Amino acid sequence: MIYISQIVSVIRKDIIAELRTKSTIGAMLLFGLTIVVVFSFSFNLDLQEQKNLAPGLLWTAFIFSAILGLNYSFSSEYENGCMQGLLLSPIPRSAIYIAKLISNSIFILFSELVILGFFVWLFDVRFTMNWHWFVLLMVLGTIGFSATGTIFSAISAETRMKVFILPLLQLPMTIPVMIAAVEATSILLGKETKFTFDAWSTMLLVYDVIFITLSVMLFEYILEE
Amino acid sequence: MPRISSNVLLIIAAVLMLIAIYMVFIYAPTERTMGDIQRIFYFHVSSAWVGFFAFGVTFFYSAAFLKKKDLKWDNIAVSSAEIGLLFTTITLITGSLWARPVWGIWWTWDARLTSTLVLWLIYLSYLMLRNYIESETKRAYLSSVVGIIGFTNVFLVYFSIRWWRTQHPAPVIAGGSGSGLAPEMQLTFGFCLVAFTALYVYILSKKVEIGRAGWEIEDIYRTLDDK
Repeated sequence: MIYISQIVSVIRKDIIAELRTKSTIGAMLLFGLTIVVVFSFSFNLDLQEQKNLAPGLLWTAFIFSAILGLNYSFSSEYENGCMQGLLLSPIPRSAIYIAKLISNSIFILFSELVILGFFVWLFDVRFTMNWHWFVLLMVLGTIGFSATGTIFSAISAETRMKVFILPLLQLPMTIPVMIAAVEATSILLGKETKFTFDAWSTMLLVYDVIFITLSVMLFEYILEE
Repeated sequence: MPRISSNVLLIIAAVLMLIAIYMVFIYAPTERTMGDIQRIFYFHVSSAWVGFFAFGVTFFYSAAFLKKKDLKWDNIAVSSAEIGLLFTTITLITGSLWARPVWGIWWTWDARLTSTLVLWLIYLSYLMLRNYIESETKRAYLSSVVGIIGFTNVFLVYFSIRWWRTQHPAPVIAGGSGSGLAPEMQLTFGFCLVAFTALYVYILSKKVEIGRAGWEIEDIYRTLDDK
């Protein structure tokens, strides 16, 4: 029970800090919008091409804006010695990871929803299946992004050249997430594929479970002095 | 490692590699449809095996470092990662050289090709990461975590891409009915695997020695600074 309330308090801290500064979400949203606008200049999609290209474009916009946000998840803690405070507090390291995982997922999911809005508006995307399946996909994919993104964000915050290291580590790591999410999305848009929507979402779930478990086990070593 | 056993490793690796080259180019028969280009297969698969094995070693010693917190394990992990990267590079290049005449293309987004490329990218960023961390202990901790997560990911990458598309020739050995190599080819292939593994062990022992020599030099500098 204490463990859960510890997690909740770190999440609350992250959300309050974000609501006061609005720095991360604002940058993520603007970046997401800019990407979608650049895409719309770069690709002219008719309805047929849409099925093939839209899922990839959408998830590319998602991952890039997610990385932008993840970059500040831990590096912001190093300003004003916040990290020291966090480490000195009687909270287990794994609880810090889980809390950061959840708050990152919330921020990323929020920016994804707005990007999706822009995308549907500018590209006129139509889902042939139910919306709630896509929401499920977004949640699973976003948790996947943050599962590895949170631990890599903590790693890159400890290096010189922070901003470069995170995408270098994160992009190859999220390839399974990207493939599964893009394929499942194109199924929702009515494309015929060899594997079903269920198979791809199970793959996302497996990715999430594996990397959350591994990260919980490994996170304490990152903050080790 | 003492000098003598290192020299023994060198001799074993050198002799095995020379025999391997002889077997690949002279002993093994020419393949009927592909011709001489098929001979690249012996070195291609052997390098792929060594690359993957080396990353496995990195995974193992990264975990060992996190458990024992002794930098010598980290030294082995990073040495093996560098060699793995080298052999994975060889795999990608020889594969491309083979694919051009046989498939008519240099590259295709097939499961094995793509996961090898991703493996290559992950360990390149692993080595990059190490360059950007000043403290030696910190470097060891952070890169060990990446070494473990990265290796685990390779399996998921492989399965996700396999579902996505596949073009790589099915395993020729033990790949079900209709597969199989001529006995001479099989012998050459097996021999190449052993020779490449011996080469790997020798290079690894040298790399680990260099890492240790680096620490000794640092110690000497430190004592000089104290004086």
